[in-house]
Amino acid sequence: MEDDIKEMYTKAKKAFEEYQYWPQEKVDEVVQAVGWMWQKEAIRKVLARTAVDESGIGVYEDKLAKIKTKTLGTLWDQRGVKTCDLVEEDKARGIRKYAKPIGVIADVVPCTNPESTICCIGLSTLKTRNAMIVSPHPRTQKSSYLTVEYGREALKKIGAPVDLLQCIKNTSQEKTQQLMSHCDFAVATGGAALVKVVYAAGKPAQTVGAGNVVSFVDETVPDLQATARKIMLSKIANNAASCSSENAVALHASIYDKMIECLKKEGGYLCSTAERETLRKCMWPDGKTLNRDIVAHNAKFIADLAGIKVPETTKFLMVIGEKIGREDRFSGEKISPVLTVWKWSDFDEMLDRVEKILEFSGKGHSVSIHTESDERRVKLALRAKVGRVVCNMGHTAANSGGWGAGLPFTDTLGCGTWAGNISSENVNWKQFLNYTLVSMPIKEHIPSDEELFGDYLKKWGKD
Amino acid sequence: MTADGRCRFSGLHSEIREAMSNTIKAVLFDFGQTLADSADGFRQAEKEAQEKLFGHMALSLKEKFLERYRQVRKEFHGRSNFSRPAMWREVYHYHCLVPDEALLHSWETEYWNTVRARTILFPEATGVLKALNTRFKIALITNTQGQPASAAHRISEFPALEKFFRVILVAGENGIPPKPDPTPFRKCLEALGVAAAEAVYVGDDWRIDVCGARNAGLNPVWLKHESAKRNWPDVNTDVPVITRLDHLFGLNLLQGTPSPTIEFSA
Repeated sequence: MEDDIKEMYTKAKKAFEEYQYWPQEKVDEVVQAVGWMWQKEAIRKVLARTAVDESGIGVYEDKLAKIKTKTLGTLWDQRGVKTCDLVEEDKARGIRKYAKPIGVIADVVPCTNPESTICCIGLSTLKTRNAMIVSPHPRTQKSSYLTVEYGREALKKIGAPVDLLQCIKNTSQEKTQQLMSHCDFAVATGGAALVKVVYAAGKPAQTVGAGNVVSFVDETVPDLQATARKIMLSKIANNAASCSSENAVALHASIYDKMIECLKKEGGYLCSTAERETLRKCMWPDGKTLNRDIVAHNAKFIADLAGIKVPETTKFLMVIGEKIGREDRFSGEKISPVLTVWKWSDFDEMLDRVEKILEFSGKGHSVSIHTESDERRVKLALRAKVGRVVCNMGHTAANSGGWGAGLPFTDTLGCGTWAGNISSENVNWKQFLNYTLVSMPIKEHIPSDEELFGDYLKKWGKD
Repeated sequence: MTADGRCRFSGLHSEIREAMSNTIKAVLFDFGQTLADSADGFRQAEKEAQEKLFGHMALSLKEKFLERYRQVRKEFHGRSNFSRPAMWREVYHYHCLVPDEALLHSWETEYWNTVRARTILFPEATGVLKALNTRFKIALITNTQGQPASAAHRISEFPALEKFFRVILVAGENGIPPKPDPTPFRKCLEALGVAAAEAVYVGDDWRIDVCGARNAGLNPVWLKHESAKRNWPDVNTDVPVITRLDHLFGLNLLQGTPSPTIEFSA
């Protein structure tokens, strides 16, 4: 029977049981084989075209590039990493650390990145000797299914068990829930609403949170036009389908007018007060739910749908930030090329505002800053309840990995307990391992009071 | 049914069936579009539900929404899953939204109220059942339409009709799979104490009723009621086809049935 979840799990388990004892060299060959397949131009073209055609969202060229970057980046991050057998030894403590796989991983994939998410998670689960079953989004199930099929082809070529990678063909919410409850672990990339559903399945899970990136630009930036260009390129990438896309810019008052002009030069269209209201009604027709018909569509499409006349060259829409929270939805996540503009003159006051903005939407995800002041970078990092602070870079080009940034490559961004997730890291191979510690006797050492409480006792005494 | 949508003919040829006509002991019916016309009710209820979902999901592109809604409905009906909340949940899921469960259930109640209010018996139904009742055991096998409880099935709205049935079986609930699975047919026959070959099954749906009954060993009759506003699948079949319930008496299958005086209800 097609998509019999029990049967799929049984097949995955069988493949896993064979694969779980493979040595590092063979495992590394497996990830190279699958990675090589996914990065091929002809394959990427098929996957990107299928995804755009079936979903009607995103940008073909951007997807084509993204699949390659994510595949190669994930491989690069795991190159030389030990994930099999003995991975660490601490002779002083008499500890040896052995890496073990988890088993069968359920991978719930979003419609915004139906192929590259599989590439990142698939390579990570294979590197850690796990099996993976993908639950695609109904809107992009063909492209997700095809991605997995190409992965299986690569496994077959080198004689690895093909059922290490499987995908539900005709998905449904019911099948996704069944899958998550059958598998040993779940990883789900999608909106905040997915978190509850995933944890309701009762299995350990990696989830993500909503993004609502605010990007600071201050008066120390030497080249505002270059910064505007970085923000534009990041903002319009894949029609802002990425949760790492800038949702707002916070501009210092002294460079505000100039930066607005720079953003306009890069294709930004600043909506008038009346146009802002028209756009708001289109984007949140009931005043609270983001209109799914505008998600990951280009600026011209959204403007036309709203009935706002914009130049053909418009790449993104800008609105002035007014209030924070439910009463002004522009302060939240928009998943579209619409950018909210905030103005500040006191950095600490803007940090307070950002805290409120994140409390409303995007807590745990990430923020961005363009500045030459490291003090401000650190201050932002210490204040903002987020997993990542990206400095002086286009956010989407760095936040989930980039060749000019050190953050790990992924499509799955943990947002920590702030967003109800178990991790605030960029999810990669690290999240798919169990460890067994072998402990040998060492010379006994019981610490003295002086060692444990020395500083305290000196200051406060023993009473 | 085979993969190409054709009915599997495992039973006897029609000539032999006709020769066995004197062995028919029971006549079983489907309900919707067979004894009663709910088509307008369903059409109206669907229209109202679509409006509610579209409005609540805060979308702009109606045609795209309807295209997806119909696609999900087709997939669900193909699996004989008629639960409205389950189907609506899937539509929400497609749009990356999570529905308000309380709202879904209130919409479901409203949906069935609309269907019930617009369900009418075919005019000849009562008379036909009354006439058949003099010689045959009469029973009803209907698929649940996803109503919250079997007691809420539309048949309960027609007590005058209900009295003719020795067995009323609502398939798709209480552990009984929906038609075209053979289980509901077998369970009904068991309750009547009649063998499959001794029973006629009258229904409007090719896949669910005609193929389902044939595969369970019953003698199907395909009712394409003349007043039902719907399209029928284009299939070649040797199954008897009628366009009114009283045409049953013209079939060889039911030879020997006393010539009825059909009472037509309004």
